[in-house]
Amino acid sequence: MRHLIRFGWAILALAVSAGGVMAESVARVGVSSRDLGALDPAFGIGNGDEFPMRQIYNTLVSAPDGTADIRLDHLQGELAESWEMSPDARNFTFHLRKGVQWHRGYGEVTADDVAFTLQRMRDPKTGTAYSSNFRQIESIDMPDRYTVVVHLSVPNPFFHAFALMPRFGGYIQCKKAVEELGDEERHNPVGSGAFAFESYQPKQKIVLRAFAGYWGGKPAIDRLEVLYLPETAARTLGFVKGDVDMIEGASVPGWLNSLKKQMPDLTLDFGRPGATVAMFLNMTRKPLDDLRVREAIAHAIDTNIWLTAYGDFMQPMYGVSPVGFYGALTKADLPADWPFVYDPDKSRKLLAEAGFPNGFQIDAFISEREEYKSNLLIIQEQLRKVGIQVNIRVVDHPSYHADIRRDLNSMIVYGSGQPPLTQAVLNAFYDSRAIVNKPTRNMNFSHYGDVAGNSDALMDQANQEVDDAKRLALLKRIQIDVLRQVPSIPLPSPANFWMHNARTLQIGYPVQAYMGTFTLAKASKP
Amino acid sequence: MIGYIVRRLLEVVPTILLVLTLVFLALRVLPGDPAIAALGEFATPDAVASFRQKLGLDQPLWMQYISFLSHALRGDFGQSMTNGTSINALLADSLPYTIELAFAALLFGLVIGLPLGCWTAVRRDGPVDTFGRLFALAGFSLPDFYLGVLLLLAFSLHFDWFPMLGGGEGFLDTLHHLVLPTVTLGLVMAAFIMRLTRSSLLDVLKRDYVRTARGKGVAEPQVIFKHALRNALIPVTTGMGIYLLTTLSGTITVELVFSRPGLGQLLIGGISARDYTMVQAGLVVFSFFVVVVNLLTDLLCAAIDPRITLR
Repeated sequence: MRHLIRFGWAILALAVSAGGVMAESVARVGVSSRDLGALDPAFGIGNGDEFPMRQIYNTLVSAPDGTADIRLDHLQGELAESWEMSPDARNFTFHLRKGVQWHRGYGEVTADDVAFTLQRMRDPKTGTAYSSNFRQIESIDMPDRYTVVVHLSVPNPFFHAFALMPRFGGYIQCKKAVEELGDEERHNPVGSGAFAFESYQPKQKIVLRAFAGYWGGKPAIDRLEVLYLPETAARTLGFVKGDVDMIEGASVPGWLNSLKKQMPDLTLDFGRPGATVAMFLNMTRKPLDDLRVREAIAHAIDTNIWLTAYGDFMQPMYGVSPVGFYGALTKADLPADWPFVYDPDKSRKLLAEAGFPNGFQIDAFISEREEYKSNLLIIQEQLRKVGIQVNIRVVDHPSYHADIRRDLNSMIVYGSGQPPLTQAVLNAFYDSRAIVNKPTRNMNFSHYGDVAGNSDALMDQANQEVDDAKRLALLKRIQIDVLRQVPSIPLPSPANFWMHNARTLQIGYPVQAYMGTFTLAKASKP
Repeated sequence: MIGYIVRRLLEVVPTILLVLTLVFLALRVLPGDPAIAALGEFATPDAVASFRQKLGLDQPLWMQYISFLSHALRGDFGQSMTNGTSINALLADSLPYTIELAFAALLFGLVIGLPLGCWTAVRRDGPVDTFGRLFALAGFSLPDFYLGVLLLLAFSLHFDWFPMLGGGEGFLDTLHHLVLPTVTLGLVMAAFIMRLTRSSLLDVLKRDYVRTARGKGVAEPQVIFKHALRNALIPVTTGMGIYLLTTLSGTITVELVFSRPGLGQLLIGGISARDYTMVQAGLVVFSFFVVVVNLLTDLLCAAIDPRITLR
């Protein structure tokens, strides 16, 4: 009998321990990157780095979960419990949450860590690509262990959107860990987020573990695996089969519709506003130096074609930035004589006036990547109808990016994720200090500012304007000024999108929008 | 024999040196910038300059070459330019996946191709031969990326018999993950071996000594397996060696389709990010395989055919 009881206890213990093992909740997320770049926020780029970083680290503040609302009074606190901006928009004060712990026993998050992170990001010696977001920091004060005051050299009411939020280098790092680990932190990070780093298998996955000491409460997902699945087919099949719970979408015509047929209960997590996409016309090259030619190109392009080809995740873009960006133009804002209205007859007439009654030929090169190439192919087909023949040369992606920054292309299709602010787009693409080959951001491909107009002074004014109504009016005026010169053709904006299988993963809040990616701190497995 | 092997191995040195030089130069000629690939679209010229300085890309080409060569000859391929991981560690992680796939495909090709080749030669123009020819046609005409996706759809997605992603962990899981990639890569190998065995065996079966053996009343299985097949295997072995090299390059596509973290993934990732150090190391390893497989093929031929002497 005693043996029988002991056997019974053994079976019970086994069942309990097996139950414990089985109860581990594992979520798998497939990203499209080939491998990890870095989990150090100074060096991480793309969703393959951004997604795990968003889980590992915290920012001071962020847009409310599932939104891209970046107005200061709408933000949600992460490491900061409260915050305020001085009336002149030159000082930002953050009061930190007390008792927030770093992973792996690195102690409490303090003002010292915040100041260290911001100074490190600002220091050109760090070599981060995001340093320009921190350049306006003049000094940082720490009145006490839990308070940080950031002083700016110029007023910037949206400083937080560039430097203190997810995606653009705003994650706060542990001073002690960075100093101790050095370069090793790239693959062995210490954060304060909902998930702590556990392991990295090159080309395969990163494993994160729920952080029991997380200030927002331990996540319901125990283990989070981020899988590197660069091939769209493999990522899609893995998702359909249920091997992964959530994947990064693919900007391929028809892909989304066919997946929806396979999985009618699919949940799409659209990230709107999405990427800023445009075809920049190099105005230093003939015949693109002629405004009539540029207007002819604008009138020849029907942007509705993109909406039909790609389905739900494309959105029209009326100004320089996608609808939903702060200060973006809407249809109602457009003047009557707007050049970006599809009118092939007017296009032919303008070409004739410019001395090209039979059209002309122009060479352009484009990246092999589908999201770039398909845009230029659609444009090529539409321009052909008005007599403009675009001779396309396809080059590999790194060559494309290197050569467009060397000013070698005539028509540059470019898509990028920007902070959801129209002034960020204007600064990056239309400021004369950002013209390619100038020592700034290198993304003004059209040469606007040196050619066909200059809005630098107005842009500076808009960046520093404290009054919201005045700032919005300025942004509207600048966009209309700039686009009247047709330095670029705004193309429909593709949403960032992830998709998850609601039967296997609940995000924990409605995802209506997000910047780049979102946290799974509140996610659970049904 | 030992002298021959040592001499052949010594010949590897100039070959590898040549490969190292060509790979180094070819990568520098390619357009594209590893700094922009690593730092992303927001990279400022300052950040790009700092990146170049840190990795020695601002040095003159000859200095970069000497540095690369001196490290490579010591077996140190440096760090990945894109993520700073040790290349040696990356190779150690990836190589087993590629080697096991290449050899599993070879084994699959031998197990299917050799008996089928013999059988179709012996039953020439019969139904078995017709089946064999159709099999070879299918094997040669189905591109491996297409076949891979078909197998994934059927046996992984529909029947759920095999895993879809990755290389597996632990012996049994690794084997389980290896089945579909092996069939994808091994099918064309089987078709090749089958065709080669068939034609070689048909040729040998017409020879006088085979006729004599049959005339002496030697049993047919003995005629085929003892007398004919041994001679027929010499061109098969040589051809197989050459084809194994094709199979090695085929692993790149198959690894992509099945998301296996092998050398192919490493190379493709390296090329797309202009990660010079990663591509250099990957290509050197591939070249080393080529030399070793050639050597093994020669040794195997000598072992099968006593008329071949190794000098």
